[in-house]
Amino acid sequence: MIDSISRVLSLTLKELLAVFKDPRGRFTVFVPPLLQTLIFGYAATFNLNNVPYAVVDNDGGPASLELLARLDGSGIFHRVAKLDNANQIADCVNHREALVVLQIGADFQRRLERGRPADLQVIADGRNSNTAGTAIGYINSIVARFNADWRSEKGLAPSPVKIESRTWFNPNLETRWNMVPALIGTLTMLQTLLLTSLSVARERESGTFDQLLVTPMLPIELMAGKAIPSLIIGTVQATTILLVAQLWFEIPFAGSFLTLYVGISFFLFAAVGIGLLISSVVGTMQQALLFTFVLVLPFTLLSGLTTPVSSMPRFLQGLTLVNPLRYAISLTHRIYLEGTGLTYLFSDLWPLALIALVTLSASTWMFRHRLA
Amino acid sequence: MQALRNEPVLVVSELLKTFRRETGEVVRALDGISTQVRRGTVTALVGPDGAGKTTLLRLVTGLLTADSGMLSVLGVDVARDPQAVQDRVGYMPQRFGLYEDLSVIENLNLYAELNGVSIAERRERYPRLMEMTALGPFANRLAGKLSGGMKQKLGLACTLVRAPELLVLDEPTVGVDPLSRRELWEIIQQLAREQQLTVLLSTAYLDEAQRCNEAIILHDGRVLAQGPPATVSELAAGRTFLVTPHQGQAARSVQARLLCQPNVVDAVPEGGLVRVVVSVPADTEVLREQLSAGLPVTSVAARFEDGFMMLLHHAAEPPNSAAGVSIEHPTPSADGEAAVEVHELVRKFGDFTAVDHVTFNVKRGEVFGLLGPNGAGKTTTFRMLCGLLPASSGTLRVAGVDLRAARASARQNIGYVAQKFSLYSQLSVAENLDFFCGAYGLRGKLLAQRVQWALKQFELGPLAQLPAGQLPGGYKQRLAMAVALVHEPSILFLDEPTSGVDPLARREFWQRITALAEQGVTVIVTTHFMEEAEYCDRVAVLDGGRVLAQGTPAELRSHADSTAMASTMEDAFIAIVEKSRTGNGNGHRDPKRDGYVLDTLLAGAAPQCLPPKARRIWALVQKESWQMVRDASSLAIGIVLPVVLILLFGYGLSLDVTDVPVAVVLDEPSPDALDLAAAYQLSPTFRTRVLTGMPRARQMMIAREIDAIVQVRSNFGRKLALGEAEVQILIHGTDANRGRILQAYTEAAVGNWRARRAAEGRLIDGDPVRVQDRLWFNDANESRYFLVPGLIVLIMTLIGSFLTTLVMAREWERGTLEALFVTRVRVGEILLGKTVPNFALGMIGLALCILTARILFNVPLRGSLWLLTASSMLYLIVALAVGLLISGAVKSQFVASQVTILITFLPALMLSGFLFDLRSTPAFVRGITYALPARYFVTILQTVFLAGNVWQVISPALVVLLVMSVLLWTLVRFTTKKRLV
Repeated sequence: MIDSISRVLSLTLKELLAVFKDPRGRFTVFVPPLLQTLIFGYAATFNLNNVPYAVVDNDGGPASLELLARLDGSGIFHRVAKLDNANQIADCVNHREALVVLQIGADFQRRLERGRPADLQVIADGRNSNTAGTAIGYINSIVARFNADWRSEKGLAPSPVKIESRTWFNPNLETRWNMVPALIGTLTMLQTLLLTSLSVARERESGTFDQLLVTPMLPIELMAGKAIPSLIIGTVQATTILLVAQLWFEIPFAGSFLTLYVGISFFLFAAVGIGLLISSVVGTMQQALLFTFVLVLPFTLLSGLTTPVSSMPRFLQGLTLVNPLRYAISLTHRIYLEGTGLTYLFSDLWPLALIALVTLSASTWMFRHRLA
Repeated sequence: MQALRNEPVLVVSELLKTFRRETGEVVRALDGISTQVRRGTVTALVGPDGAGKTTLLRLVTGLLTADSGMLSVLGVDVARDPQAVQDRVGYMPQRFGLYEDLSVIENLNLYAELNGVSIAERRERYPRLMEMTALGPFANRLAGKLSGGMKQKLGLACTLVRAPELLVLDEPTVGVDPLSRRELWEIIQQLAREQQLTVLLSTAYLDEAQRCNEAIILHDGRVLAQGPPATVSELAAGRTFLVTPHQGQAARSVQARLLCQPNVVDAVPEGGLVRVVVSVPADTEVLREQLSAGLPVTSVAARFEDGFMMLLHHAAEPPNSAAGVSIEHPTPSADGEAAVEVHELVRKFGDFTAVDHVTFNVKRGEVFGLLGPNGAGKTTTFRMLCGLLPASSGTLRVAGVDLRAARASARQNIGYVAQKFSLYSQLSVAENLDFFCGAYGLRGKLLAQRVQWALKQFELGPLAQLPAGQLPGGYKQRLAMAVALVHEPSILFLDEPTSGVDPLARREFWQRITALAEQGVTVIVTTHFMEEAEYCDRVAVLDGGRVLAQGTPAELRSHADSTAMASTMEDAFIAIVEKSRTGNGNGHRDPKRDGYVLDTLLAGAAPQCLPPKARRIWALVQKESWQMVRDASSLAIGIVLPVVLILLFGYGLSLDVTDVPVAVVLDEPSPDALDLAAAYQLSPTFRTRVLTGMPRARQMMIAREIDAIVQVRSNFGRKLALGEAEVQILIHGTDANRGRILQAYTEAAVGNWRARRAAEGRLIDGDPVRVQDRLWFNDANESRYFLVPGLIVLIMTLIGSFLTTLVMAREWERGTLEALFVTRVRVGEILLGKTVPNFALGMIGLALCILTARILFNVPLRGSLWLLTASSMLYLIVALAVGLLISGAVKSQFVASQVTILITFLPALMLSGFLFDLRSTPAFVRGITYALPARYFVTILQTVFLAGNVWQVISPALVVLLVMSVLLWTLVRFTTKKRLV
């Protein structure tokens, strides 16, 4: 038993040494995750803070000026053009000068004063319909505030139904808040899979695997010696991203670190299991690379990172059930943003445990039967 | 004519070439050497590892540039015009970069085309090459499936496909068995004789140097001697003797003892005797007394090898003549006890029988040699003995057990040195030793003790901190031995341990083996150096998986040919193998002319009407396309990934929100409240559950069973009339984008309900300002409409940059470019050949995308198809250039793929405006995006698909892409050189 532990330990040390001695190894462990977290944190946002708009104000009365002033004062919208007539709208949108164009009818002021609904036409560039939808949403809320103020100013009855909206867990609905914690799983998965699948393939290619196999090491010890370094490096990477999230982006952490690390370790076991399974199947580094990329892409796309799982058709939702990243992202969101405790996380933990169990035992079996 | 004949083909003067190691240390590979090679001669370049042989040959072929000095080849200054030299020389690098996924004939045709050999010339040349190499029957076999010797012959055939003026060969016979080696030499000498070809070759086999007209001996980057081999042999004249051991005394123990004598330069076993070179001429009688302890000594003619050893003896500090090894716990020798027993061992791979009923026994403390040509089944036998491969049938026992079936701890008894260096090259010597000690279960003090032992015994102490990969050849070999011995095994397996090792290191190695055997270690060894069989107690000769002969070296020599008295082991070996092959009637040698039809070999050549340049490009494109079709990885990246992306994005991934689970909580079930709840229940957007208590709803929200709560506050109905009704909406905001859309939808549902009630006259309502929104270009608000066209950018980036990087880095990694460079092919042609197939694949991806977008997903294409195609081509051209630049800078597939993902694929996904609005990113991120080609392409894609031919948007983007493609391609063209770094 002690012999066994000491053998595993020496393999673990060797693996860590091999990664950290090589400047390129150190680079790939720390720099890409760090850069990616920063880039995604800044770039991957569905929030808008700079919407160019144009206006066709056929009325020009105080009410329309007031409404436009609110838009300009929002800090989100900035006016790029004041168009003379509706014919110019098409060019303005087509040429991407404005994302949205507002059209205010000639009787805007009159209708308002008579208590008749006045229409505000909003035309948005739907080339990216998501961005356009968001911009329209912002205009809606500005108009809603305008309406409420108009009512109270003019002594009109307030709106019969008062809607009080609150958002849990992410009060300002910032994409960054859900994107950056989700990267903990996404980026460590890519690196862990690559590291694990390549480490065995590299040994096979350079012939050192044979040298390992003629030592008294058992297949299970080999597996452990290959898995532990990846688990350690995965944890280090997860911590790096966590630190960026907390210290750089200052996204508030609602849960417990202990719970988070429990969740991460479940996920890492599953990821390492998949990596080992790849490495037990492939013969060369190129195949390992390929398998990893071909797997990581659907894993990422079907994880809920960029598009929600619940918007996928049924059969794809079924596929996501075997995707460890889906659970990892759900876990990190729930722990990081929602502060959920372990008792509620069972539904995310047991699938990860199952994936880890299946892949680890399958790869042990493969190792034993393909030791040639 | 005579004048021309005497004019030197190669003039080297004061040539200096230095390399900088990673440690910063500067190595003088060539230290200002001067030499000449005459026309029509065969010149051998010999010297220990690291003497500068390969560097000189690479300088000659223009693959490297010298720091200073003059190098003129065929009257051309190589540094000034390498292409002119490459047009006229044939070069076979040490690792000839055969394309393993191309067949024999495809490789040959490729090099014929690249060297501008016409069909007529090929018609005349191929039969000769086929005859010389006996590759005819294997013309359609993939090069990767050939044995080592056949690969080497194919490499030579590819080099000889044209008639070069100078033939440069870098260790052409390394790893080649004696039979193939003899055949290769016949080819070389025949060419030199018949075509007056000048040949310059490097070799580790000193007997080969003896066959040449001229030998140049390099040592530490300097020329030690140059002249006809006989002049080198003469150096040892009168100093070379044969010592005859006593009856029953092993030649190798006499040899080991002799080597320890101070004035002995060299001693090797030979034909049961020991050949000795002494430093000063002496009399046989004197030697008998002083040196051989009374053993008979006879004088013998000196060979090249003896002179070579004399030269090195003077040049360097004398090679460590007492290289031995002493084990801490010698195995008590028990005579006759079998250490290894192999009985009727068989191993089949499919139909092919690699090992065919092999039987042999090795006694404890014996040195047992397995000899055989390439592919004889030696390594397979070894792998079975070490438990790395299961046997198909038969029995084998190593130290009494079958390692495959026995407990893992039984492997403690064996040490294994693999055929090629297989230790961790980036780890230091000490770290390697530490690790393997640990792997054998040693720890603490014992571990430290064994590492110290290994460092001392193998004299690795001073190099302990050097990465193993940077050790000189002989030291690598020592380390491999040390690792195999750290756990004091009783049986040692050595698979071609001396292949590619220089003569000095080989001698040292065998001294250690001899010392080990003397201390009771059983050694089983395979080798291609037949003279090394003399060190063995017994040898077995294998061919075609069968044991042809077995016995002591002396028995084999007599068995092979009783007439030749002083036959060498090599002659004996060849005789045994040939006898067996012709005896079986399956000799490969006779049907040389058969097995192929010339016309089929010539098929597939580029059309002769094309100019040479176009033919070369044709051949490269053809080669690249074959590789692409045969390589699963290209197809996976080029076809499978794009299809997966299209289907996923088209069918599955959308940012649209439907079927949202919400809970409507009614504080009191008044009719108005129920009416509002019904509005949610009827909406297709929501999957509504009506609850009565908030705590339950909150719990469901935390458990993520619902995404929103709509709480209808108490007294809703009564307050509605007063205009004071309250609805509280709680949104699960973790996914911010979805949360935002959800918020809009849930609020809108209340708004719609209000409007309906107002219309029915049951509510006084009416907002002062109503927003009427219209989404241009995408009325249905389908995210698929912009996601699917956007995919084109991802696919083009994958194929253009990622795939190109991988295939180019693969060529660098496998060393296939070295041979390719020394042909008439130009850099631009190589680049074109690489990119044209990927360009075609990218266009297929584009067609696939457009078709599925239009037909499957009904995405409108409002602009022109031609504009779309043209701009896609432009982007693909940019992406290809980026791929070439990355692969040129990083020549390993692993790093290149990481870099490509990081700087092309991820930005195309995240920073191109494909998903996220760039205007809202911080200024510095936006700044970066302006440098990304993907950004401009996404702008064009979204506009052409959804808005139409809006030139004001498209033209500037097109111009930027055009400028980028010109810039990048210029950069590629000027940074790619036919040079090795």
